[in-house]
Amino acid sequence: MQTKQASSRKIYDAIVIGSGASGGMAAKELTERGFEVLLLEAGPPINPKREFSMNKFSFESAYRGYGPPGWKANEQWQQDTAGEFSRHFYIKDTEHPFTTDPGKPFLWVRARILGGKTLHWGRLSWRFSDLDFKAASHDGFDVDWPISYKEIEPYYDKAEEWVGVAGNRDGLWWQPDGKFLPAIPLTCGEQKLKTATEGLGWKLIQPRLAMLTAVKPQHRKYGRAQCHYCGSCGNGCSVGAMFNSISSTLPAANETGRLTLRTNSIVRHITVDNNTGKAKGVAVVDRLTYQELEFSGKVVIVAGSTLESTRLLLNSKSRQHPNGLGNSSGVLGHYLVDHFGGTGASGFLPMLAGRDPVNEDGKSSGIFVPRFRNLDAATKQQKFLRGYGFEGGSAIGAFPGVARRIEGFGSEFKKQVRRWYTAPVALTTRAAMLSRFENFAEIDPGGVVDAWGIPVLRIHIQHSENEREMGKDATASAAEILKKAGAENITLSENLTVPGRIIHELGTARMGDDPKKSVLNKWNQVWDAKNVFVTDGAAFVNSANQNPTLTILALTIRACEYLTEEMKRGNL
Amino acid sequence: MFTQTPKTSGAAIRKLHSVHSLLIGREFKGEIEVGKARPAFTYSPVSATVANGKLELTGRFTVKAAGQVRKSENVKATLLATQGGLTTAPQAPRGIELTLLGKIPTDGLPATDATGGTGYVGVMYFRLSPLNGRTLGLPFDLSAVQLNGRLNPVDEAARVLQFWYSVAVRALYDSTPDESLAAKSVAEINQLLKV
Repeated sequence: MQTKQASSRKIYDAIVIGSGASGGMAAKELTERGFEVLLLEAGPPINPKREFSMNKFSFESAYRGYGPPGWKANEQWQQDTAGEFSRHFYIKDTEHPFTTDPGKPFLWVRARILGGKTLHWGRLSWRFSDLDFKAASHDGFDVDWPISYKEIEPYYDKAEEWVGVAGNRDGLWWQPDGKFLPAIPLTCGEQKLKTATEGLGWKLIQPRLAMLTAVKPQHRKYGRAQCHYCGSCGNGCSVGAMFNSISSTLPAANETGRLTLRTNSIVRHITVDNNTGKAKGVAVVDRLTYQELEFSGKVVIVAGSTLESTRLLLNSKSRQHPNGLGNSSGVLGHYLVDHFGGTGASGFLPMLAGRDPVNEDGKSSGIFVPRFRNLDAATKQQKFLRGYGFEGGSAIGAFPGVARRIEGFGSEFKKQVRRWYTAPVALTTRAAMLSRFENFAEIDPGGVVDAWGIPVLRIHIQHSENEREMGKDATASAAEILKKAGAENITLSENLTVPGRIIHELGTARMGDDPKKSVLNKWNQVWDAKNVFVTDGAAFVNSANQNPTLTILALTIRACEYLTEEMKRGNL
Repeated sequence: MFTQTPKTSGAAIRKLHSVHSLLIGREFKGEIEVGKARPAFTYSPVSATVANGKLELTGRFTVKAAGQVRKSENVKATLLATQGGLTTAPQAPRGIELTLLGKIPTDGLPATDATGGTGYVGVMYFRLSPLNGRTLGLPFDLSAVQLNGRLNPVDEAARVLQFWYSVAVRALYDSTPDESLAAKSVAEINQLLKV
């Protein structure tokens, strides 16, 4: 495929910052609508043939997929999900500092590479419902989103059809159904969990995953193939079964002939017209050459991932925007959330012990227990607001992780490992964290910079009593399900994950109805600069307890449709 | 589309914004990327103090390149900010209570990995001055270079220093600074740097 050379002399119709889920979708939507788009990616390009390791077994490496001793702790200590074969998808923490308050750590996983975090994301694709969009009306905490489910529903449809989401129509009002490909079946142990969960009056459904279980024309057109269940999604999916930008949205954008892609382009700040206060383009530093460049655009789409987008806006100070672009409300950077996990339970299902091993981990899916707390008056909790779901499953994996939980040594130890290897079961929480003003990110007041001299973020975040109480309830509920399923050797997990660990950092440039209390309007448009749109997770008002990417994609499509119309009307 | 060739840079002297290092023993050791060469550097603090409410180290900055060793003495490293460490906290030296790092858990909020009293410092970000690139044989402007000091100790000296650096950070950089704890931790750091 050919790409045009970026030009500093040209005025692009739109500049898109970031090539992950949102940036890729924005590039596709806008080029297909006739826009000349300059897509800027801070990281390097990628050659899937050379850099994806889908078919590589851990045993092919002397380090068994864990990498040489010390690399992670010394170079990529924040990149929790990076492995030996995927470490190049992630940033090096040696070049990308951020700071925190003493005793309040944050874990920040970042991908600066063409395709961003879509190269290794978890693929869970849930819709939010009005239980989430109108959560404040439901329980009185914080504010509602400025949009309702009905408004975003058509865009969820579009996103699902484009991406390809496997799932069932489960008929749950608070977990809306969509346009699905065939769901991925449950394993034997997961069927046991389903029976047990439903015996307690809760639901257990098959996860909705952005993986092709059937290939539609819009997938086939770009060479995407059906999933063959190799189970190595995080090492790069060479067949395009897993949705990511480089197999899907970017080829579609490129096909229009209106895409210009520039990699290794770190945006320092958004440049502003001194007369109007509107954006006129971006200032960029080349990651490799340190060359300083400027590009001009009529519209700027900020889609660099939640915290990077907010960092960019905060660093975009000017006479018109002295506290950062979009920060006249003082809300920019605030209401940072992540989901929390960590709490849950694990054990063994004795009825599955000692059976012949079969390939169960290739599907890399598992189960999902949708939220069952605070749905209505009957499920209202006294000790916490909002709710949580469970991810988990029961599957034989390539690596016998059960060995860590079995005591002893020698032949008896091996015998026990072989026996229980086929019977693991686990549930882990995916829970809402309340959006609170006091959890925020700011430009580090100490003056810390990254390797390109760009001021970094200081992140202030900690869980509240609400999360603690919800976590306790989650651990107890997980144990209850496992007991009901007949599990033995149940181990409880009671510590919440450190903020950031679930890699669902959201908020910090929230949308709203009131320019004095929000950064964006309901169209992801910056109140203070109407030709700037923030389309990634920064726009979220709350986290709900569902994975956010499908909502990010739907909001991006919606924002692009809106800005196209506004552009036609001459309003931008 | 996915394999654009990066442009090559010109030969102009550029500002070096940061260098990465690991705390090994009492020293911060790392490499500086100069084209294809990677000269090794060591920052060896010999004393610590508190200046304007910030931890300040003083020591020697050494660069070893092409068989030559160049040094700058009395280089100050002012601690700008830190990044919290994750997972297991370092063990307190014998006879010292871990609670020096703070109350457990902070403000009665839920415990997560490395929060509150189990919190510790994972990276220290210092501003180095004065440093001159030409004196050190480096083709960079080092006037405001930042030393990123990663603390992932694999030896006892670094482990104990990490603990006391963490206490000093807790005492000086928390929302409620603690002068006496700061003085105690700085005294301990000075003892350790003298050995």
